[in-house]
Amino acid sequence: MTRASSLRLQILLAVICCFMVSRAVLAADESRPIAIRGATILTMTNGTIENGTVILRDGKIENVGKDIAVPADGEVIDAQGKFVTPGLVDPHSHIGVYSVPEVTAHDDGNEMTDPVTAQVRSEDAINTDDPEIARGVSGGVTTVQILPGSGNNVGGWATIVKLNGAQTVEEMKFPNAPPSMKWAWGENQKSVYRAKDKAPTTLMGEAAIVRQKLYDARNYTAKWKAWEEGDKKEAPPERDLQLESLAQVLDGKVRVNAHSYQVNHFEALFRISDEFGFQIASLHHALDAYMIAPEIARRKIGVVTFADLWGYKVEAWDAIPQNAYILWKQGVTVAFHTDNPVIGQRYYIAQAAFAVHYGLPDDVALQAVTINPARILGIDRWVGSIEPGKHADVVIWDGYPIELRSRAEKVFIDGQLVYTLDDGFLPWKGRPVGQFTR
Amino acid sequence: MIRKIFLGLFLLVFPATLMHAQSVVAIQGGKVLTVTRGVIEKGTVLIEDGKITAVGGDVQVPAGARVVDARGKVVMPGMIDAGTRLGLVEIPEEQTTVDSTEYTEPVQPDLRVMDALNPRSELLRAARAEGITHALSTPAEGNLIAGQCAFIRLDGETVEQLVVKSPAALLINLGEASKQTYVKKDKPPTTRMGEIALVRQAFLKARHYRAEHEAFAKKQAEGKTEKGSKREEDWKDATPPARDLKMETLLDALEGKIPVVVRAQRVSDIETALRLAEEFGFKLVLARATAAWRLAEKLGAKKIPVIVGPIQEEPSRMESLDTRLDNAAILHRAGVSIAIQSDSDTDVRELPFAVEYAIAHGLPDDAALAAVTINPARFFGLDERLGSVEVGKQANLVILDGMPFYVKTHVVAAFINGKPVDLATHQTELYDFYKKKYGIE
Repeated sequence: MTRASSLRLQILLAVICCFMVSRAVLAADESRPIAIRGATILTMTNGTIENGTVILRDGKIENVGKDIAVPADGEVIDAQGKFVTPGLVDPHSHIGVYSVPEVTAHDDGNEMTDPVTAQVRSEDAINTDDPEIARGVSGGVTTVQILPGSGNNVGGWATIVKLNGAQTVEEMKFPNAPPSMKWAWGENQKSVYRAKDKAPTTLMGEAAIVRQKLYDARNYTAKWKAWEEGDKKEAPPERDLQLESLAQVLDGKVRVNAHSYQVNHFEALFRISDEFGFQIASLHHALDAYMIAPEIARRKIGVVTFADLWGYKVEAWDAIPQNAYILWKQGVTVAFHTDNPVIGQRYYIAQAAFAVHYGLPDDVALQAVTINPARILGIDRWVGSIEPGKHADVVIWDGYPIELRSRAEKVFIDGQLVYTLDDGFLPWKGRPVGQFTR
Repeated sequence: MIRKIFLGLFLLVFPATLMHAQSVVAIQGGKVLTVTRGVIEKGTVLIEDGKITAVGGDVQVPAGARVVDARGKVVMPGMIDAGTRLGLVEIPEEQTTVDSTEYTEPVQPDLRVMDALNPRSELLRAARAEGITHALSTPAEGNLIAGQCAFIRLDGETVEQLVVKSPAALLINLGEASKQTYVKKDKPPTTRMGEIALVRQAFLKARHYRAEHEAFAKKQAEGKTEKGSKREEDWKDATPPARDLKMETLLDALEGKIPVVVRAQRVSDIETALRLAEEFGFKLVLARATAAWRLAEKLGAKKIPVIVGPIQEEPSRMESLDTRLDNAAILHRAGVSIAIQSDSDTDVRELPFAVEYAIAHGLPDDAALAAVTINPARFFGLDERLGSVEVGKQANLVILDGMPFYVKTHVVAAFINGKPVDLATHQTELYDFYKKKYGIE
């Protein structure tokens, strides 16, 4: 070996060493735990911890408590005087299917050609560049359910996503989320089809159409069952995506999210679900739900409502800001929603604030934007509270989150820092289109 | 006998003194946010005949005055929402109840909000329960020269009682909404160019109208001075130029009798508003002004008043992409006089929450308070009458259980023109019914 070649070898080795070290450091960085220390932690499920610590590791909450040791390799975030909540969970949003700006090209939320479009899926329309994603995170929102609109009685399949700034829907999707579907009852469907001079133009029409379709789905299931159980010599029945989707509802495999406002809407939904033997998971908007709170509690149906939206149409005329309060008092699981773009995604926390203004206890109001919507969507095993083992979706607020004077200062999704007050939505930092978080 | 006379006299006189004293209301011991004269920690406000007659830390309460104990409470002027459709709209999606959208031609300065106001609107009650006692009521966006705004108090049995000032301003809507209306009708304006051509033509026509009328008046005056002459004969038979209500309102604006509220969102539309104001010399008040923060220095230097809001505006239109929560704060720092509007009908009652958002994003508390009290009063020439807690002003007062613009602060009482107002709403009535039905505390 010549001197020169030996030198080259040494340099090469040094480079390799350096590379390996830097890789190791990088790798350590990626899995390096984060300790948020000194904050008031609003856990949602286990009360408030003053001057507490939360440890995030490998995308999960590793530990939370008052006297938690910070791991030796942990990155410490001093959160003295700040408040920590789980990332907010919005059970009813149209983010990405009604992107902003609301130009015609962005109109992908309502397939208003048939009052029953059980076969359509919101995941096929989600625009992952919707600025509302960044704006939502700036307001502490980390998980949303994206529903089709309310133009049809059966609107189609929902998609539950993390607002992680990923470029594809596939990467945004909430892993293992239960299947979920949008239904809708009331004025919207009547007015959509009245304009087309087609059924339904009355609440009677809405019920008749849906009931008939459910019978069709039942027959469809029977036809397939007969074929499966037969000798299969004949060709299988033709697949029908609409009836197949409804058949899954009848099988009880789908969470039905039913947009509805008035008592007569709720009753029609109850009647149909009783007749066909499936459960309505949640009533959405449900502004008059307080009027029959005990019945909703008895049926164990969740309510997803506005804290304080009133009067914009006749079916919203009797909305009261104590709707959530009365329902909660009667034992109903209540959540708030933005129905984005009806309310901007970043203003979700204001729903809790408004409810508090009108008498809902602070802790219940915060639960109504975190653990309760997670329960209603069937994802509370993973998100909605600060508990060991749950996804590390965590918000650090610069003040008490119920006061609108407070702002989200840092937001973590699956353990990754995705937002800071100073730098905005980090996954999109430097993109030519603004971040829309000011 | 003498005693009897004396007693009789006393009975005759006493009720009169009592009645006089009872018509005096003393709001005592509260923290008074006067807006224009600082904060009085433990102050008393006297109300007599609908007016504020005394404000201070050591006000003598006349014997027999009705005392309202405000210890531990905050007293401030009733809030003014500088842009609403209150009284014009009951249920926004129910056309039969909507009187804010006369979308039949783009130039309608003759329309008067006052002629459509509904004093029985539930929306008035809902708003005042949250401390909003006054509002500018305007036609909707969607028409170019949209009509005459009314400044209203949110209490009254009749339109006459509701209206504080009409016309309070002329409204012009620039940008997307106005052209959208006429794109559907295939009529001008369908572009921003078309919008501005129509506005300029209308103001030029108003100038010509004035010239015509002035010429006639001159002829008339000359005729009068030459008794018995042919000129007098001419004048007697002359037909005066026809009155044109559209032109008369535009003239009021051109002559500075009423301000012109121009709703504009993106930078170019705000620039257009400034250009029009310069060309025609009207008193400009910018409204909505989404991108005003980009022109803050210019607006400050030109002293253009700006009505900001809705504060929680979304980037939902191409012209609102510049929306940001610190718009109000940036304008304030640049020395712009700002007011805040809800730009709403059913959500006017959420104005205090919107103000809280503006504060969260840098607007100082005192500037925020001025933006919903004295500033809008000034914009519409009403600051001598309302907008602050000062002697001689109308007694429009709100008593709160904490400092304003906090979620946990509530209105406990409100006075409009010295009269206590009922804080019940359609919602509280429903709530009371169902609370009782289900035995809820």
